[in-house]
Order: sequence, then C-alpha cells, then structure tokens
Amino acid sequence: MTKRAVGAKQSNNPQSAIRDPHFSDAAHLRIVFVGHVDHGKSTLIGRILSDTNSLPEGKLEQVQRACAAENMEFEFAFLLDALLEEQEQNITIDTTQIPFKTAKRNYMIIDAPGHKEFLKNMITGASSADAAVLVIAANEGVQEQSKRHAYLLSLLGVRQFCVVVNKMDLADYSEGRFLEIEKKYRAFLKTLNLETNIFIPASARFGENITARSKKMEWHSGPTLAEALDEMTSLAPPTDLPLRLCVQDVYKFDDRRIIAGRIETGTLQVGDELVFSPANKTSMVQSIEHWQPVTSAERSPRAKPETAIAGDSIGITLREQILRVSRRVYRIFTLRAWRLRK
Amino acid sequence: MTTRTHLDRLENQSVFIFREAYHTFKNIAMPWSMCKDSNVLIWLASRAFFGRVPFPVLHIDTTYEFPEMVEFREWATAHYKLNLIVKTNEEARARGIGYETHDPVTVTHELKTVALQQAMGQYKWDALITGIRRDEDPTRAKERYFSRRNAQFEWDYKDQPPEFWGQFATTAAKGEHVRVQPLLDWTEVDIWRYIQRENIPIPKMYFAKNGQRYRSLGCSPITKPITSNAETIDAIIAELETTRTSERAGRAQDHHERNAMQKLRAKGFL
Repeated sequence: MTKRAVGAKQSNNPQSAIRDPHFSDAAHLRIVFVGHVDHGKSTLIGRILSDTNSLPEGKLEQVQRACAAENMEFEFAFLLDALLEEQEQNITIDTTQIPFKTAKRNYMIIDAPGHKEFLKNMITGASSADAAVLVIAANEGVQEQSKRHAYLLSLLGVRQFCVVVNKMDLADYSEGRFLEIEKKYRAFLKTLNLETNIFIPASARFGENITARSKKMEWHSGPTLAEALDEMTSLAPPTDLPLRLCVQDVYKFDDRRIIAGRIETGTLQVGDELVFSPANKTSMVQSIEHWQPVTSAERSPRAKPETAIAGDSIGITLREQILRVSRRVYRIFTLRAWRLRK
Repeated sequence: MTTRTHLDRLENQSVFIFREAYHTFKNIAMPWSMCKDSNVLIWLASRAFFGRVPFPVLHIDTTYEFPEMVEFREWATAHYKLNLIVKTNEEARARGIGYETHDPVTVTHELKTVALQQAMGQYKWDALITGIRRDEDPTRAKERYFSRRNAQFEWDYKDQPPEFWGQFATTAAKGEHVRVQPLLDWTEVDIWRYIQRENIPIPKMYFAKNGQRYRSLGCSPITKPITSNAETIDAIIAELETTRTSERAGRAQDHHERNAMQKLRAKGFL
C-alpha cells in the first residue's frame, strides 16, 4: 500500500462528507446492501433487478435453466454471485456493483458479502456508497453481522440507510415478529448514534414489499423498498469546507511545471494564495491547466477553467515556483484556511 | 457554485486513477483494442497528462482484426502521437491455432492472453491500464481499480485486497503486475455520452450501415453485429436506453460455456 499523507482525509467532523471521490448527483445514487450472511441480500437485489426489468433479456431464464440442469434450486442471488465458487457455496465472496434504474433515477447497487471472513470486501463496497440498506432475516433476527455492519457503516460515515426485515414469509408475515426485531435493532442503532425511521417488512423471495406493496402485510403503512430508495438523497461535494488538496504528482512534460492532484474539500480559484504544507511556503495560483483537444476546441465550455471544486482532479501552475514540492508529503491549503487553522 | 455532472465525476475519478498509476509504476503500458472504451481511455490519459499519453499503448493483434480497426489504429497512432507496440502470438498461429479449427475460448486464450503474456515477458511492465467496466460482465463487476495478477497472470478473485477512499493496493512482487482499471465505474451509456460530449474519434463500425451495427468489437470471426438503424450517437444512446440485450451478447467467447468469462479472466484475460 502506498504511503500518503492522510491528514486531509480525516476531518475533525467525522460526519462530514470527506469520504470518497464518489460524490454522486441527484440523478445517480450509490447504494450498498449489507447484513448478516444468508439473510438474503443478494436475493433482494436479484429481485429488484428482476422486478424492475433491469436484467438483460434471457438472463433470468438462462440462470434458471443452468440451475435446473444441475439440480439446484433457483436463487435470485445467482444473478449476482457470478463466481462458480459463490454459486456452489451459495454465498457472496466479493462485492459486486450493478447499475439499476427506477423512473426517478439511476442507481449503482453494491452487493456486499455478509460472511465475517469477507469483511474487507464488505468495507470496499460500502465505502463508496451514498446510502445503505441493512438486511435482517425475520426468522433469525438480529445477528452478529447485522450489528457489525451497522457499526462499520457508522465508521465509514454512511449515515443514510433503511432496514429491510427480509424473509417475512418464514415468519408468517407476522407484524409482532417484525415489531420485535425493529425494537431490538433500533435500540442497538441508538448505541451507535445511528437512526432511521424506515423499517420495511419484506420477502425478497416472493417479491413482497420490494417494488409492489404486499397484500400479505397490509398492516405495514411505510414505503416499499423501491419507494424508500427513491426517497434517499445523494451526497454533495464538500465545497463549503476549507481547501485541501493532496499533491499527487508534479509534471514537467513541457515548459509548464504542473502540480497535479485532487481537491478533497473546498474550492480553488486562479489568484488564490496557497500554503504548501509541511514547508509552509506560499504561492499564488497562476492557472488551472486544461488539455484542449483540437477536435472540440470550439465546443468545449471548459476551455479555460478559473475555478475548481471538491472532487475535481486538476493541475495548477504557480506564480512563484516552490521547489521540492513532491507527492504525498505535500498538501495544499488556502492561506485563509491556514490562518484559521492556526 | 459551479456544479458537476455525473460524467464530470467519472472523468475526475478516472484521471485520479491514471495519475496514481503513472506515479506508482515505473514501467507501464496500456492495452488498446481501438474499441470505444479504449479510445475513451486514451482521451482520459490525455486529460490526466495534459495532451499526451506518456506510456506505450499495446495492440494485441490476433490477425483476425477487422480491416477498419487496423485502419483506425494507424490513423489514431499518428493523431495522438502514440508510442504503439503491436504484438501477435506468432508461435500459436504457426501451430495452427485459429477460429477455423478451434473453439473461441481456446483461441481467445492463445491469441490474446498468451500474446499479452509474451509482450509482458518482453517488456517487463509492472502495470497495465485496462478499459474494463463493471457493467460488462458479472466477474468484471467484482474487480478493483488496482488489481494484482501473479506471475502466471492469475487473478486471485477469492482474496482481493480492500480498496477504499482512493487508497489502492499497489504492490506487486517481481514478475507480477497490477491491472489498473480507470473505467470500472462507467456504464456503456456513460461511455457513449462521454464520447458525444468530448467528440472522441471512434471506429465507424459502431454506427449502423445497412441495418446493422457493432455494439462490441472483437475478433472478426466471432463478433456479430446487431440489428440496428442507429447512425448517430444520439440514436445509439436511445437504443441502449430501451434494450435489454447485454452488450457482449455478440462476443462468442463469453458464452461458450457456463462461466466461460470467469475461466478466461482467471487465466489472465482482461
């Protein structure tokens, strides 16, 4: 693993959005499905994909045929668990990402493995999500990974989520069982300072309360899973925080000396006075460099950028050169932010 | 405040990955098949490095290439001033490996994967930049941005390192290499919208002619066109918005047997 200055990734406020370059927009939401092993996450996702016609033509039938040929009971999960080992053991080994669409917007669904052996894969999947769906099976109730995954979500800063109590068919669609699990899990979430008002009783296997409202659970007045997803919001880039930019590299392909990196937080403008840490030297932004391809010269609105914001991968030149700026150890702050910090 | 679109975000993410790779690895190459995705890669590299591709691009020439693709290769090499390396598995062709006599999985392995291994043996690259996307295939959906391959080119998909917050596992032992995959998050429609927005040159075979077009391009004997009247990018995007056929449906090697792609990819196929 490459060593890098991680300071800019750690905010004083752990709830801020400094988590990942994956800032989504309103039309795209990244959502991770987590929960205990065998509580039906992959099945739930397979069901949503199937019920919203998001699967390629013939895919469902193809998997059904393959299962029949090998005397296996068909599982929606096989649509995602692509590896032979996953299908043989009926378990998700590694995280998968699959695009999916409702009338409202585009989703990237992230399926995370529920077995404790694959926690690193669960974290890999969850770290880039805007929101999460926590899945608890009604028959088994709250289990070890139901708790651990919620804890990891809170550490990763994913604070927007809903809870699906799945496999309600194995609990006779009982409202009492649902409320029992809800109460217990709510109390646990409170210890993590997590909260959600959305608990959904569902059966992924039979498609109850996934995209269509269940007739077997008319006592449930809340949303279906699809409705709950559409209500979630994506994270905006943290432009209102002070500028932080980790130097990724310094290029000297021609007579320009370009300092390249991604803005982690805040904004940057031509003319800004910058502080380079750790040397604490200052210089001013001369330009934000941008490749101008010949073919689109007249069409591109980005010909000469004057401003860049959090999430942008940029290259800048400086009015006065600062020597020995190199990768990793160097971080850039705006002068104003720097003074405030001291 | 200036806002950013979905495509801006994808571009920023890919540029970030390119720069990480270029800084981390001394000896790097980018396989280039001239297909739409790999032309987007060239474009993104030009964005990351301000108008240049500062490493060689590698074309694995199976000798079953469409003539239009080879023509495009020559044009684009000059246009982008690429350092192009062309590699063919001559030994396998001499042994008579070919689509006329062998199944597509065998030929794909020999003429693509083994050819890539031969090139790696020759040039000793420690990283390859690939244009694979998660939405193309369920095993690609499980990939990391930085993904190690051992000396035998095998992908240890059962034990991948964690990867998050822009932190990548970049170490590889001698003889191993790392696949760097800047397009993982892109979907097929994203690629087309980006080609449209940036006006990126691509081979003409993607556009309909006489009621047919190619949606995915590979070796000519095993790549089938789809029925389509989409003559413009707008029409292609409109077509993709409604289709439920998968992108690689016309690529025979993927469908030769159950989990064919997993087997191909575990052995080193991109």
